[in-house]
Amino acid sequence: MATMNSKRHHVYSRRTLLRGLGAGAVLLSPFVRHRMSLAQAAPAGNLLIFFTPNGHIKDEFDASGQGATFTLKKSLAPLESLKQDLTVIRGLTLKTTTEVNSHDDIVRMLTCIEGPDKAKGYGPSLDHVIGNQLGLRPLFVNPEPNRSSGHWRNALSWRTSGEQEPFLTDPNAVFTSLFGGGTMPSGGMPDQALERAKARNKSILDFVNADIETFRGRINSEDKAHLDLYLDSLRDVEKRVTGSGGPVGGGGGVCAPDTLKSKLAALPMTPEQKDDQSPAGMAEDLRKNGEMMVDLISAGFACGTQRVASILWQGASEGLDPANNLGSPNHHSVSHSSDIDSWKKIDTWYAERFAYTLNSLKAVNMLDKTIVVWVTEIAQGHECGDFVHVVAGGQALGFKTNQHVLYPFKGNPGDRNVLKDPANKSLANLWVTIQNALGVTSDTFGDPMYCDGPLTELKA
Amino acid sequence: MARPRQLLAAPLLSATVALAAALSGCQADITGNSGDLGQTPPNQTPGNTNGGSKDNVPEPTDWFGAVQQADCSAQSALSRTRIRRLSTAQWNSTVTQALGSAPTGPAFPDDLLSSSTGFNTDADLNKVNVLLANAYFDAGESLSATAAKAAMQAHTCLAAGAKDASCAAELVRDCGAKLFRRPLTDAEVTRYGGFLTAQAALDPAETAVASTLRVMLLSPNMVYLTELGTSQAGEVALTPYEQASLISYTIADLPPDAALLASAQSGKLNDANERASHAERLLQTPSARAKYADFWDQYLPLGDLRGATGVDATLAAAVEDETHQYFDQIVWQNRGSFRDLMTAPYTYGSAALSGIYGTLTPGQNGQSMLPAGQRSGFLTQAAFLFLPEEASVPHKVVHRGLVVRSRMLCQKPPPPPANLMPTASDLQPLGADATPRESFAAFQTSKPGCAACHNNFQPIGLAFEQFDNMGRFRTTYPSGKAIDTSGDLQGAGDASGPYKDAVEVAQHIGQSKIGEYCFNKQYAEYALGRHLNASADACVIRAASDLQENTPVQRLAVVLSDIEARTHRVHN
Repeated sequence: MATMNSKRHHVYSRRTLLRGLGAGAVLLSPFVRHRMSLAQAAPAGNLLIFFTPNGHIKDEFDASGQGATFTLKKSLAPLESLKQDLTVIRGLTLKTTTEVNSHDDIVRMLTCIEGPDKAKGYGPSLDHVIGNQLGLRPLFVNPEPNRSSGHWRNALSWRTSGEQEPFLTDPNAVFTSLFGGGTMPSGGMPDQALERAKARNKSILDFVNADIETFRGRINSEDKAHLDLYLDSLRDVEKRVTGSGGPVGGGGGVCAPDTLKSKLAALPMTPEQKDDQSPAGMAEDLRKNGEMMVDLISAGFACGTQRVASILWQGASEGLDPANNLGSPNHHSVSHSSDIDSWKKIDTWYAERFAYTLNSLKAVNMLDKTIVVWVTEIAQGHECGDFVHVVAGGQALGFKTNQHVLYPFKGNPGDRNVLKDPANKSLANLWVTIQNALGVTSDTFGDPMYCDGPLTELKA
Repeated sequence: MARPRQLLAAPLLSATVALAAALSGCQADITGNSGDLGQTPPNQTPGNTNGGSKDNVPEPTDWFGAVQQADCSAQSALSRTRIRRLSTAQWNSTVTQALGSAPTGPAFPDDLLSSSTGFNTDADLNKVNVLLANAYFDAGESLSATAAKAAMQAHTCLAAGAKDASCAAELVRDCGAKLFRRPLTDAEVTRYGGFLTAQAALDPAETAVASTLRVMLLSPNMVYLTELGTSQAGEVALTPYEQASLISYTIADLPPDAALLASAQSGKLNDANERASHAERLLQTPSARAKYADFWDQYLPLGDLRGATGVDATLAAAVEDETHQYFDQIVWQNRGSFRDLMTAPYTYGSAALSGIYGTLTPGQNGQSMLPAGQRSGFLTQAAFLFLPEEASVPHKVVHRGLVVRSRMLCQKPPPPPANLMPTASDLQPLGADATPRESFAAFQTSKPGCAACHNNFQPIGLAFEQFDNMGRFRTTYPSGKAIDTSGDLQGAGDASGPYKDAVEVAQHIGQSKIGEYCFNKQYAEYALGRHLNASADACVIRAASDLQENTPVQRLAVVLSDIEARTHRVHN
């Protein structure tokens, strides 16, 4: 019975992957046409959100100095060679926490709207705000989840109020999402039969779309969201199974996804993580799977098949300790223990992954056209004030890099009322800056009460 | 079909679940007439309610008081019409029954866990998201190939006449009725039949049939369980086929079988005896048992011993097996009640359990008698008591106390105030060498603001101090200090009162109405896929208990499915 997520379904043969690659230009669905027209209107650019859990030890996860004269501290040392491509920002604050500002504010980190249910996002997250503007569905990936989509610990990306975006965990599925293929007919099928299979899939989905609209006439108006989401999800299915999601070009980078296939085939089979008692020895798998995801995202950006993506390395308030290669005590337990050294080592381990990410984008000539932002759900203790963010790339989009920006923070960040103090700079301002660079012209984000416009320090 | 255990410790500790604010205690009640199932209940007729929907009824401050005081002889607010996406278990059983072959291939994504009810059945939360839509499409593609072959044999006209409207209609009527759990309307036969004939013009007949089955598998008529009646605005009765589906899926996660559909067709499901006979039949299926086991897995916030530091794999498996066997035996062999689950002086399972419990004496019918006076029901079983070695002492005490207060008494403490999140060291102001009771007394003095709320659950956690992290019984701490587990359970309705240890806490709750109603409420939230409002749903919560004191747990499914099937809805 299909009740559990099992790992790694290699359902996509190499041949089907190859088949999917060339198909996109032939059958463009209305959805993709829409995307292209908007993409031409907006400045070409991409967003990659890089999430790691449990905050950081800010003493060393920061920079000293200010402005262009700055030195990366120890935990960020892996980024030394990329210093000219990034900005370290100290002092931003999430204003819209729930009653207790804590790990569950992962739900509000990219939405910036308060609400009574701690596990619910009350509005689209940054990736979807931008995706909506560009007419595309953002990609959300998780290289090694403790928990399946839907749990608040993983609830970073929100399609709309109350609708979490589920993440992909299988790199093959990520490839399919970016470059088509998937369960397209395979096995030496002649082109004519392949085209018929795509057309058949299209007929099936067209009929189901009409069927849903007929059904809509019978339902309670309060259940409208059920059918809206189903229709929305079927558009994604269509892109995959009619081959309309292939490379459309225009990404502006080195578009060569074929080069990733041997790496895809060599991925590890990873044992299941379990809440707080995952096995030791999984850090290397996390690294390989995560870096594969990053390379796929870079390729998607370079080829222009995707422009907005988020990678959630581990969920909030949990996660492996990759630096010590342990499942237990996990990253969250380490952050509550007196083992500060291990916590710093975890920060460094993720800084190495962040460096890998920037280099991956550079390798396909996309870093200057991509804004990469490192996000976590709490700053250091259980508080959502006085964060350290690393924002990288985006120079071609007007982003200023090679600097340390300091926003002074007043008061105890553990106090929710202090977070709301207008003297403390809102995180939503960073999201406005990013959305503006990617074609969303609005000068506010989330709850407008807690947003006062873009961060001028980030503009070149 | 074991589900992954959800350790509730961290969510409960962060305790930010919004509670219903103090609202006016409107004593609304609803239909759900709790008459004996053997007699015909008064079916509602349009126009005899106050016309309100449950959605408009505020949550009471005192949920137990509201349930106790509800007047269940009066009519009141109705639930709204709704659609529910079939759960994965329901989708699988429906497809298996309709097409004669079980789905294979990649697993579907997990159904989503509700932060409000703690179960993965919530109808609002569980929609068809992008992962599931893709999974439905792929499953349909792989299933339909075999199913189309079978359909070609069952409908011999297809080989030559798939393009023929009457032959297409024959297939569509047959398969549609099975997948949609109701006969198709003429308009539907025309639409789906038209798709088949159009496809047959482009593809071989078998492929066209497969495409038609794929369309039906993706149809909203397949994907959603409906409670819509005629979909006319205002109060509506459910259709007989909706009644049949509700009875079957609520009890056993199965689609209505031929016997139920026949009763629906002949209009007999408005008869309580007819409904009861189907319900009793369904209750005997393995699926009904599996569904109860799934409820139990989600209801109990269990620690996961597998892979925990210092825990032997055999013992971990024995402890996990114990809780499943215990529930299964009490519910099905003993026809036991919530009281039995909470107070049994025995358990079931392997001899390996003596590694935790000490000497187990064989009792009747496979029971293992626990050492006298040490334990009472599942609150004192290892699977419930276990916490990882690295969990701090305050974590353990707070966790155990919070679970009892929120899960056994349905009283979720409010979240900590904005700037008061106590840390582990706040909870141990005298240092790690102090006993938890000494720590708590000092915490009450040093953090009176925090203690005002912690008083509601932390003392309950202290009652469990006679059990270590593994659930082994002890009377002193390693330091030699004696363990005092006594206390006074307060604000817990008829379970309130002084106790000397965890055994008495379990007995107070197990013998109380508040405990029984709380269990009923949570079972109903699981089975009906929605949060229950203690005012609007008071009589749903009470229904089974009003029929029979210490109602057997297995009656809950029967009583609830009957209420669901016979009660009207409000459509808008």
